[in-house]
Amino acid sequence: MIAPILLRRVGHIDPESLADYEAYEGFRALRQVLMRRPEQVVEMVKASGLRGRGGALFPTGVKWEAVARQPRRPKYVVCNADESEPGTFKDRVLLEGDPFAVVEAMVIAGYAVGASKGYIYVRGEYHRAYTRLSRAVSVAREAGYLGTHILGSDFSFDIEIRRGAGAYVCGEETALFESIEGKRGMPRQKPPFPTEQGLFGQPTLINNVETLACIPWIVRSGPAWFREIGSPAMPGPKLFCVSGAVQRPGVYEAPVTITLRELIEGMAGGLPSGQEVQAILVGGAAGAFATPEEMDTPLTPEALQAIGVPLGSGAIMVIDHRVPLWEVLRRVARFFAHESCGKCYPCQLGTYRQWEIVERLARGEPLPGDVERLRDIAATMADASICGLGQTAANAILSALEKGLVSVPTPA
Amino acid sequence: MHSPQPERWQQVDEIIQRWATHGRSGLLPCLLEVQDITGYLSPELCAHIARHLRVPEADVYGLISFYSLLYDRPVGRVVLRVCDDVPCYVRGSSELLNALQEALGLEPNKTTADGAITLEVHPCLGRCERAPFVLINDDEIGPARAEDVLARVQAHLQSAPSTLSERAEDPAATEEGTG
Ligand SMILES: Cc1cc2nc3c(=O)[nH]c(=O)nc-3n(C[C@H](O)[C@H](O)[C@H](O)COP(=O)(O)O)c2cc1C
Ligand code: SF4
Ligand code: FES
Repeated sequence: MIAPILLRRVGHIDPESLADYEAYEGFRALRQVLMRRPEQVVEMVKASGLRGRGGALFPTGVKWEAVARQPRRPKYVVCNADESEPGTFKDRVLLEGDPFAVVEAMVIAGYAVGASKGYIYVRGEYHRAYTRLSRAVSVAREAGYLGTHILGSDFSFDIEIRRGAGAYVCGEETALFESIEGKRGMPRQKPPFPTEQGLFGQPTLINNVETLACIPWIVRSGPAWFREIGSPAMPGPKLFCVSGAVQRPGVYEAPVTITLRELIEGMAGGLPSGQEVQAILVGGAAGAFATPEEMDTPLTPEALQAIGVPLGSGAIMVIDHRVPLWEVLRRVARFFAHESCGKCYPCQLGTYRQWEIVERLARGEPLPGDVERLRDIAATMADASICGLGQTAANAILSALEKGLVSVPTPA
Repeated sequence: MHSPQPERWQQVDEIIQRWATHGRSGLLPCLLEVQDITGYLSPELCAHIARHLRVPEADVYGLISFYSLLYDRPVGRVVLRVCDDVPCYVRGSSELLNALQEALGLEPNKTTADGAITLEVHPCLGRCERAPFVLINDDEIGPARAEDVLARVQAHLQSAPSTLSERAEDPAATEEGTG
């Protein structure tokens, strides 16, 4: 097992102390970056092979380059700290335990893409993370790491923190921009993409907390070092949120070559004696189920794809054999029906229909044709929804049906 | 009827003034910060904020109805958010929720008759390693047992200052303070 990188400081330093952060490598990457040209920094991120940790796995360097090339100003850097995917809590652990790392990474990103202002959008229920970040930003500003002429250079950059207000969909990047702009958080049609027209209509780089947390380490140790960790398609360390029926639920750092079994039985201590794995919901409510037989699958994108499971946000929810799985599916269905923003009909109607049908199936009182109807709705939502919420809302439920994890009651 | 608390209105006006220069982009943080003090956003407060941030009043209500953490009617001084999402459910959130409902005599999303406690059932609160998890205002409890939650609720009720919203004051009366 490798020593933790992203979690290296978490729990080992006082997260409110700049001196502690500096003593553990803090802000050295920024100093290094300010001596290079912005293009070199973008090149380094591209060469690292880093892919977005917010769920979509988009190549980070490609995004940085697209924003760097935009001639329009101002440009913005946004940190997506809205973390609301069920079963996901890694970003909270980073924000609470190592807030200066996000600040440092955002300044580096701003320098690389030519942005002058950054926003951190923090989930509304993350009070401690918000307080720690606010403190980190003001302490960093006083110390000259933020503001005008950062560390005596020509580069100026500042950060504003915004609180979310309890809407899952606001984690979707364009909905998040709408929210910062003071509107209801409804996703926009894409294109145009954020790299061209993002926050306030300006070129915008948006990255997840964990994605950003990788950046200072890539700068310090180099892209080649980063690529040695993980798999060719998914280099670098990854955070996994292991929850549910394990002895030690928590955030674990590992390369994606680790298997579900090693993560669950090794790192998270396995299930309490007498309990067995019934199913594993991987990737959040927007994810899909793995079966106990699939536990030797590594968490690489390719291996997961072969079993029809997305890595998503890195949520690994372990469900033991005592839990009625229909109750789990009810919660997933209710979640999407509640969180659909209502902008497009396939999702607005589909998530409600899906919830109604799942409720009937969970009660053991389906109507004839309910399962076929569920599949129809799923296909329509996947094809015709504007954003990822509607596009993924049926995945977990379909995967439970397809893998035979739940039995379908027969209509009366 | 209690006596008004001028220092709280002053806090509200300071918040509004700070965000007024941001216009519409200041609306959501302004509403959240004001609500931190007032407990909920009364029609008078909404009108007041709309005027100072120069946005239509309808847009203020649009935000309140969209965002689940914004309230346009009074909520309890103590808001209990019980997570009932998958990881918490696997670790006993249903039993916890039932016990709390019974002890408090409350259905989900209802407030006790004395306006003290609101009970909400919540999707994942992002603390699944502490399942089953409960937020009491912004105080975290997990793994939560019903007895501990109830004791902590009592402690909050004794210490939590009553909010401005209980004091039926008209914000227009402090207009001169907002400049
Ligand atoms: C419904 C929905 C919710 C999302 N929630 C989050 C979130 O909470 N945090 C996050 O980083 N990305 C979230 N995303 C993904 C973002 O849209 C975006 O891809 C991400 O912030 C990009 O950063 P990355 O490339 O660093 O992953 C969500 C997407 C959808 C469709
Ligand atoms: S897919 Fe759902 S959440 Fe996304 S824009 Fe359409 S209605 Fe809103
Ligand atoms: S499921 Fe309860 S905190 Fe995540």
